[in-house]
Amino acid sequence: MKKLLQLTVNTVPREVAVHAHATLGEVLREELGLTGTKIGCGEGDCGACTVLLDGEPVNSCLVLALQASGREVTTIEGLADGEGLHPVQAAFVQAGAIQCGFCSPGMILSATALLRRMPAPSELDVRTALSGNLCRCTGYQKIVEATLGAARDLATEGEQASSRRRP
Amino acid sequence: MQTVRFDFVEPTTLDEAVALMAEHGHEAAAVAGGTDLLRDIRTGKRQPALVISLARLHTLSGVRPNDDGGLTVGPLTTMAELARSAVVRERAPALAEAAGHVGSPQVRNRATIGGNLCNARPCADTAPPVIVHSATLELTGKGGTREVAAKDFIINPGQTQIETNELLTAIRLPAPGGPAGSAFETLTNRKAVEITITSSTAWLMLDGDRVAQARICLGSVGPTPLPGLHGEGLLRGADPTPDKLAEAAKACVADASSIDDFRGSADFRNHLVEVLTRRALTRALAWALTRGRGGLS
Repeated sequence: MKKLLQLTVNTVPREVAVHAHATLGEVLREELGLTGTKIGCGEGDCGACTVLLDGEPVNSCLVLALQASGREVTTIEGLADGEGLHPVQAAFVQAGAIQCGFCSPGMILSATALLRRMPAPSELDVRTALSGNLCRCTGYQKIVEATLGAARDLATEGEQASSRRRP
Repeated sequence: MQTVRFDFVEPTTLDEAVALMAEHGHEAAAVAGGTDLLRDIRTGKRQPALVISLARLHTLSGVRPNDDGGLTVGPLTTMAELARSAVVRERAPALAEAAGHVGSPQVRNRATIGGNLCNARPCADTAPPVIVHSATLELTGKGGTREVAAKDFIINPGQTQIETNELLTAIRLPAPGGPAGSAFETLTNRKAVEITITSSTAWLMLDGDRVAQARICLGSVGPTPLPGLHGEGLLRGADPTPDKLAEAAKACVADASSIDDFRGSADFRNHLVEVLTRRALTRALAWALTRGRGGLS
């Protein structure tokens, strides 16, 4: 029997009937059509299914959908502003941090959560924050560079925005 | 991978949760973060008919510093919360270190200390810190609550003293009677999303220049976390020189019951017991000395 689940996905309130055994990842992909979230290992090892739950990265394969009731979920589809890429997405493209792309949604969400919490991370901070996201193509170097680049871009944007606000 | 169908309830009060546990017994599985349970369900290890989510029992979450210098940790506190909690880092540094080592950032945002203790894996990283800090665990069932010493809680791999109708409702770390410190040391094949090959956790309390009490707990070298009794005995009342700490660390090898498996040989694990225990004792001593000088306990 299905149960009614109410949650907010990418700032939009959603209501969806789900099986009690369905994971958040399955519901995002199969019920809500948000296939940007990838399911890799299904056991919390690879991080491909990473989404933000109330702003914190979690493996959506290890969260029951019903456990997300009343909470806020951000998927990769929620980052871009219309056609305009989110600064972290833009930095990944710029740095060549994407090859096959399967890990990219999870990787970008982990990086985004880090930069929200810590706007000027060290390389070690970045590597730690991304340690739950596996990439089998890039060797991680460009992903780390992209995240550090995004931090610089966001800082510059912030400075420009605050100088525009000054009288 | 297989789909196991089950029903799901998410009670909002402890009474309701305990009543559900009593009603459904072995058919039910309590879930906090779900990082172990969902894996176990997917691999067919567990097939509950009902999953009882504890996530809305907000009184069971968070860390409360007690006025006497102790700590009460709610079982639903996540690894991430423990790792970044200033008061846990201050009063139970080994616990903050162990929690910060579990899984990955994503897992630490979901996995809870209660789940880690109740699943009772030989490699459960938060069990040794809780044991060396002499914690007591509060278990609540329909008939009321009872307390169990953390060192007696885990009986076998996956088996604890908790009854099917009980829930772990508090983890209490008492205040030490003097300047004390603790540290957690571990080795894994890679730094994240890994299972501990061997860990050693040490707690030391000083009386002046001497060790008043020492507690050591070894992880992943036996079916349950094992106390480092030989090392503890050598340290009691001793002058904690580097040589003495090294001697105590070496003595703990006799406490381990290491086995060969794909993560490492028994010989390698025994070597790690010595090395990691020496490091843990050295850092625990440094903490205790800082407390002694700062007048903190």
